Amino acid sequence: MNPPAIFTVLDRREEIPHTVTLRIQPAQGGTVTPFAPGQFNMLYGFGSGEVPISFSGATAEQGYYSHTLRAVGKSTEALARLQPGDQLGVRGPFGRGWPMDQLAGRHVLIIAGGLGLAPLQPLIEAIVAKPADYLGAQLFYGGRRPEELLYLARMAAWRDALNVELTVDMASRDWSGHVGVVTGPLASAKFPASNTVAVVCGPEIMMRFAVRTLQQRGLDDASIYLSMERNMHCALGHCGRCQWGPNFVCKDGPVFRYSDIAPWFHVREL
Amino acid sequence: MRTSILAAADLDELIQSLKAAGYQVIGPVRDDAAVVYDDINSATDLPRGWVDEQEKGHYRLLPAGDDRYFGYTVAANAWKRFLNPPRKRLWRVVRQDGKLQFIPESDSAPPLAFIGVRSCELHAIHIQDRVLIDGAHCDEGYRQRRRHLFTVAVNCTRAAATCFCTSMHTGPRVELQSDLVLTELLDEHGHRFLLETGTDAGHRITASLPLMPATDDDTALAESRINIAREQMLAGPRQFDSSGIHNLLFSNMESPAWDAVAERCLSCANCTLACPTCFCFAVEDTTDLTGDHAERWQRWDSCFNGAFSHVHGGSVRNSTRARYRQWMTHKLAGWVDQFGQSGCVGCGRCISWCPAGIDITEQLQAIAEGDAS
Amino acid sequence: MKTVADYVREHALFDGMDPAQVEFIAGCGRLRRFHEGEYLTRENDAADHFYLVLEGRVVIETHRINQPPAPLLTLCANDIVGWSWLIPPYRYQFDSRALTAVRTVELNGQCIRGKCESDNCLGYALLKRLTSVMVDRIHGARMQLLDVYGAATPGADPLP
Repeated sequence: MNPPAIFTVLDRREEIPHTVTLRIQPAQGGTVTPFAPGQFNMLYGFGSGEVPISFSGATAEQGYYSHTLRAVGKSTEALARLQPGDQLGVRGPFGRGWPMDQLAGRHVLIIAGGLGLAPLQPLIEAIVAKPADYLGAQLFYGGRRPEELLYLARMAAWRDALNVELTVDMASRDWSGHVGVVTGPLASAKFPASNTVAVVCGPEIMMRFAVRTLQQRGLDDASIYLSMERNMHCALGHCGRCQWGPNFVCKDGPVFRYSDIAPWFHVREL
Repeated sequence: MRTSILAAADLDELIQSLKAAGYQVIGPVRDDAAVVYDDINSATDLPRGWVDEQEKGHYRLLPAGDDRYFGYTVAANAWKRFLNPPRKRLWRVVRQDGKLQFIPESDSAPPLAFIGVRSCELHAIHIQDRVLIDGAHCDEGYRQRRRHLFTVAVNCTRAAATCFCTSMHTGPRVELQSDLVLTELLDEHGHRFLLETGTDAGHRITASLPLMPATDDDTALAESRINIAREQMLAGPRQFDSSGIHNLLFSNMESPAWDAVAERCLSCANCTLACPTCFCFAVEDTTDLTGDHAERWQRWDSCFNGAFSHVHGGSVRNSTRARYRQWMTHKLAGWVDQFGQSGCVGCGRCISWCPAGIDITEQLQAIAEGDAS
Repeated sequence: MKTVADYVREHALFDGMDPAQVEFIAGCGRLRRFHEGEYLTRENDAADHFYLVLEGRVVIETHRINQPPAPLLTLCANDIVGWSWLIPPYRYQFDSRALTAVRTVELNGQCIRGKCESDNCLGYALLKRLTSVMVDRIHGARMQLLDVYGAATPGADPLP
């Protein structure tokens, strides 16, 4: 395993409590290795471990990466504490991302839950940049409360290119979005099922419900893509930790086509 | 392939020839109550005159009653520790004025020579090659050690009760390439080795040895001795048809047999450490007390440990049932999808070194008996 | 000009149902619009109707002392509002309020109950469809209770 490249924090934005977006650029300057939407980097905070974090932000961004991460443990807490000018280690990009070539010319259903919107942001930005390349696009984004939804400010710009439906579990009366589950608006949404691709990222339980709703709505399993998460220490296919059935999440995923992994998706403690 | 005879009394000359060529020579030694692979200096370090008795949760060394060097079967530890060390530092990093500087670890070692590699073990090394060299990412340190590795393989002329290489098609005869292959012969014509030289490196090392031509009788005797090991396994309880294992396991992920084995399994990880192909590891990041120096270490880990599958909030595989299932299905089924071959070579270590006496071949049988399909 | 029966037939609840049965049910309905802020149902009122939402958004909510009403679920086109008409004592359990201008088909509960009693095949066909909606609502409520977004998804810390 080679040492990481050194990156410097350009800016840090607190999105919602405990969740920040870091923009980082190579300490030596210059360009960054291009990434595909859905891929991830291994981010290393000095002495406190390394974690896989998906790319957020647009792929067109030159010279820097954007990563949205939530402080949930020692490593992510250290990364979330980084301030502009601080340095961190970066290995990547790794993994297989969203099937961008499969999306062109088709209707795209984007279904995200909680922090699961972050790995979908590059995909959304790609659609927003060239909406004419797609038949249409809808974003169904669910979260616990309105104040825990990501990228609300940025969403205004997305609404020109795609229909955005926000759903929360709990809200006060002034909330203008949906209350309920993310699959609710999806169940009654209009889309051409035979020419639609769905991309799903969120807690596994939410993805299970989303898959069921999509199947009820007439999507075939080969048109549904999910992003999986497992423990990961190397991202090289060597440490063995991210195995999920016969798959390595780090190299065969994190994005999988549902028809390829359907038997594994419902096995418990896999 | 050149075949010749090396007198047992001249075995040390082979070891000295390897040392003279700059190799760090590793082979079997008797370490208290077990044969283990370790550094050797001469033929006197070898466990001459000892055989192993292995069974479920059982390993004993017994006097062989003869002077064979390689009468034991496989050592307690696998060769993997020398090619892929249990613990190694990956890099150091210094933080000064907020700036990071990474210092890569030089992962260099003298060329290694392994003496006494069995056919199943040669297969195990090749299996680890697939994982650590042949993928999109290569473990450079492993590749270096592997590239310079010299192997003196030994054909088994006896099988332990736990051996099942005939079921996994990995032995007992050495068929994968090895620099040298020995078959130990002991009869009224004396104590000697049939020596097969398979590579240029093998020719160079043996050039100075006092070799004699092998007769057809020697070759036939060697084959008959290997056949003894083969017949012992074929007649034993651990002979089975391994062709349908992949589908059998993957179609029985909810077999009650997993629950039954979980009642006995201690989740101690012995099987994964003893296994010659298990490769999983953890990385650990540490800092010193000043907070300005940090290191990253890689160490062997096991799918039986809770932290192995930890995703914030808890382990994905929380139960012993799930962990045993992960180990066994990966070894025998997932491995086939991932690397084109089974991850099991039939060496039997996981059987002998399981403190609960769990036998992977019996578990296969239990799954097969409960097979719903 | 579309008839009530056309709207009923096009609503997801009746998707694929025998046209004669749909026609029969539509006989109990009329088109009804609600302004933003207007209530479709009020808790404890007689549950005389249920609504097929054609357009607009409706929130199901319940009132609490000394706090604003709590939104429980929002509904939109192709959803239905109200099933208290089906179950004695036929009183609404919650308020439902139009979040936007809302167009509906208002179905008379007593009328439909009568038709279901006289035509059990129709009753069973309708009940199957309503049960499916109820099951979806229960599943949804369980998901909401689970608080699935409470723990983070990606960006997880691999260390315990």
